[in-house]
Amino acid sequence: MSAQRDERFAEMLETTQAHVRAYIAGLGVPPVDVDDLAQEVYLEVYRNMEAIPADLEPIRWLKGIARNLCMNHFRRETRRKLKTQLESLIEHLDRTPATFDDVEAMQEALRALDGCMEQLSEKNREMIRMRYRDGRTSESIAEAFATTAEAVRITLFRLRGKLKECVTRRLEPHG
Amino acid sequence: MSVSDGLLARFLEDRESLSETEFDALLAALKADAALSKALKDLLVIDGLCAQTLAPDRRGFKAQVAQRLRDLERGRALEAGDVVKRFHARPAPRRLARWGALAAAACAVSPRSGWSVQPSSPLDERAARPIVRQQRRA
Repeated sequence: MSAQRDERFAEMLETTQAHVRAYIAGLGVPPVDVDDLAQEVYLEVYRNMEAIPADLEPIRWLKGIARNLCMNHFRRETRRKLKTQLESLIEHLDRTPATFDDVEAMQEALRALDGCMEQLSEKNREMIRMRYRDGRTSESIAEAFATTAEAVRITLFRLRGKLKECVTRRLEPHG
Repeated sequence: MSVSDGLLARFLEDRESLSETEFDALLAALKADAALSKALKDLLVIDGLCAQTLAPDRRGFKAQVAQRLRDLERGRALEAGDVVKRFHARPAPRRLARWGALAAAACAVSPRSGWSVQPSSPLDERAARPIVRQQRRA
């Protein structure tokens, strides 16, 4: 592989990886599978760099590969529960527009997220950290907060909504 | 058709915690309501971004891709190595062996000629072996 080609790939990885991973997550792919599938996307691109049409934005090419790999992944996984439903969900969500739908918006959203987390109360921030940093289930978080798993799930659901609103505000001009 | 926040919250935490009936109801609601679909997609994206930002095992994504690429390249090198091994294992073509024997005979006739074969490839090396042996004997 030529140095120029390597450089092009490295630049593509740097600028698009956050977007590709969020795109895969946005298709409803379970979080545990997101990064594995995203890695597959980049390996596929690396193997076939020449196939990317010159007049096409690389992110569109990457998303196309990501979508196909996600579908194939669930088709292959015969033992997975709700396989057919997950396939339908991916197809549906792929056609659904998202608020952060381009590379720049996604990168800005990622940067804005830190500030938005700072705006949460300490208790809510801790709940988010337990969920994402420590990978704890709602049952486990509920024990720490002396509450029910259902209450934790609902709180996390609302916190994600708050974070989404905050990030959207920050991305608006003069936001 | 509407779905409860409770169902969406469970879906976000663990897709497989939903029963088939619940998942079908969620799909039907999403297909009937574009705003709900967009809201869920945004929440899934935020969920993905939170994981990217906070989960320690997800921060090294670029390094993980680089490692997979190194593995891929090593795999290619191993495949190329197999080709070389197969080449080594192949018997020398008869014609070359015959030329080798002729050269050996020439050396035996003139042992102090100083002529030697410098092996440049595995094949040449194999063809040269009887010649060198002849020279040593001489």
